[in-house]
Amino acid sequence: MIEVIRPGQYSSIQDLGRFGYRSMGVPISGSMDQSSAELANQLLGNEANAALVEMTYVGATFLFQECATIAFAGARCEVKLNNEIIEDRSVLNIEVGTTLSFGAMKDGNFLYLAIIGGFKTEMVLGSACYYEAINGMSRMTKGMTLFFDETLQKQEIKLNETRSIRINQNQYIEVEKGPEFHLLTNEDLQLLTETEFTISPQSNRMGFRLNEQVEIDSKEIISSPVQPGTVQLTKGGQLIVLMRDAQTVGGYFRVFQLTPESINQLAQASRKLRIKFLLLD
Amino acid sequence: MGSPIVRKYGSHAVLMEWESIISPAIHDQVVGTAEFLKENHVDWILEIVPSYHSLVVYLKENVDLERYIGICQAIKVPINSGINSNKTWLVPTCYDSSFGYDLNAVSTSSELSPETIIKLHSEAQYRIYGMGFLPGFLYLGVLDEQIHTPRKSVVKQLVPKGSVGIGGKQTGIYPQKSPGGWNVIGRTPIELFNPTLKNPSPFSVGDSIQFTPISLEEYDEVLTEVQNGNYELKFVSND
Repeated sequence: MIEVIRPGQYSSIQDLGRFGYRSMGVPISGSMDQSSAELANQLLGNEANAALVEMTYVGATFLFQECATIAFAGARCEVKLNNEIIEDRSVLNIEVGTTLSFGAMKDGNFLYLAIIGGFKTEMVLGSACYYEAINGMSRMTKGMTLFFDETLQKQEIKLNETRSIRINQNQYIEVEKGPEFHLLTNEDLQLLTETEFTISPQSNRMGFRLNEQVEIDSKEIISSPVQPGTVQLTKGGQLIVLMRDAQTVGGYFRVFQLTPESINQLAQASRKLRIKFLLLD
Repeated sequence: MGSPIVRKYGSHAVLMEWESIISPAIHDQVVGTAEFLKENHVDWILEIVPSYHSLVVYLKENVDLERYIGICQAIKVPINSGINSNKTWLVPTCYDSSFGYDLNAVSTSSELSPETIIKLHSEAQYRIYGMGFLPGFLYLGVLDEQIHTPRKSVVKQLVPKGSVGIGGKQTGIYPQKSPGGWNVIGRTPIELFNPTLKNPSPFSVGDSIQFTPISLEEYDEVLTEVQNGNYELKFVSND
């Protein structure tokens, strides 16, 4: 098992998501940047849906009470094994009693820590994802314990594997038309595609708010289904991009829908990045 | 009643949308179509989310979206409405002021006595138009106009689980403890959402509910039965 010495800013267990209960209002959840999470699991030969740790903005510190083989991928930060900085490696064999710590994210926001066989946590409604109303868990806390299958560890894997995906800080976020797109005027569309937006600090796993408001006359709509990647336009002209823990139904204009890859890209986008929506046709 | 508009909604989902009004007749179409799709397209569909006047079909990865849109456009509506629910679930609710701590505020704003508010609130049947906002939260049909009450200007940090409230034209039940701005007029001891069950919500979209007033003693009795797992929610059929 592993003890959480410091939980970091916001760390949780995630997998690919909780499906089949959206009609009851259960968010799908899952890793914010799914391509990085999948890479971390792939490096260890895990299933794509294996449960892993997601860290946000500031990484966590873990004490290994059993030996383990781990991999990490996603945002870049300083990684230390017993105070020794690890460079150019993203798969590690960890000995008993070792401390593994992750610093503040320097490029990207979300970092994934995978372990061979995945973390063993309670599966509720088919998923390990933390979500308060479902499994009583929202984030990791200091002193809590994470479990895994110790018999699977220290397998023959390529320890010097360094394959990593570069965090894509491209300002263009690819979107498709959303359900209320047809209600926009040409001027509205011009505003939405020409304005440079930045991500507000008032953002979380449910949604990323954008700082810049647009002067567009939108109305509330009868509550209708929404999904991760939906760009909502509020009555006040604020844009909210729904993310993985998004509610399942919403009452604002759904102007755009991010492509699956652009959801991952936005998840890792720097708050300094000036984002522009690129409408695909 | 016209055919729904069928639109692509992202790379793996299809939106079907009817006329933009809240009405039982439109909602019958939504629910009937959702049932039809679930029965006939089981190999293609991941899940369906129905709401007031629209539904979204979330498709499995390998489904050809353009082809599926064509299939949905060819569906003949109205879908058989005979499969729609006629169930009204009876939700035991204690309107004691210790639970309904905003009953007096609603009384002041509506200029009605608490007894009249309880009567108006509990005599109506509310259709379940959808679920969302929180797991197990029910979007219910409209409330009697006399007891419409604006949301509170200050959000209460912790509204207890099971609280029954009024927010504007709507009434609803908090399935979990949560921050909230609705005027709380009572509390139900039943579980709106139990994630440890295979079917976490006892309700289906298209069913109706009615609040049944109970005393504090009855509240405690029902709560004990709920906690012991031997409470069975009752319903009536509206034939």
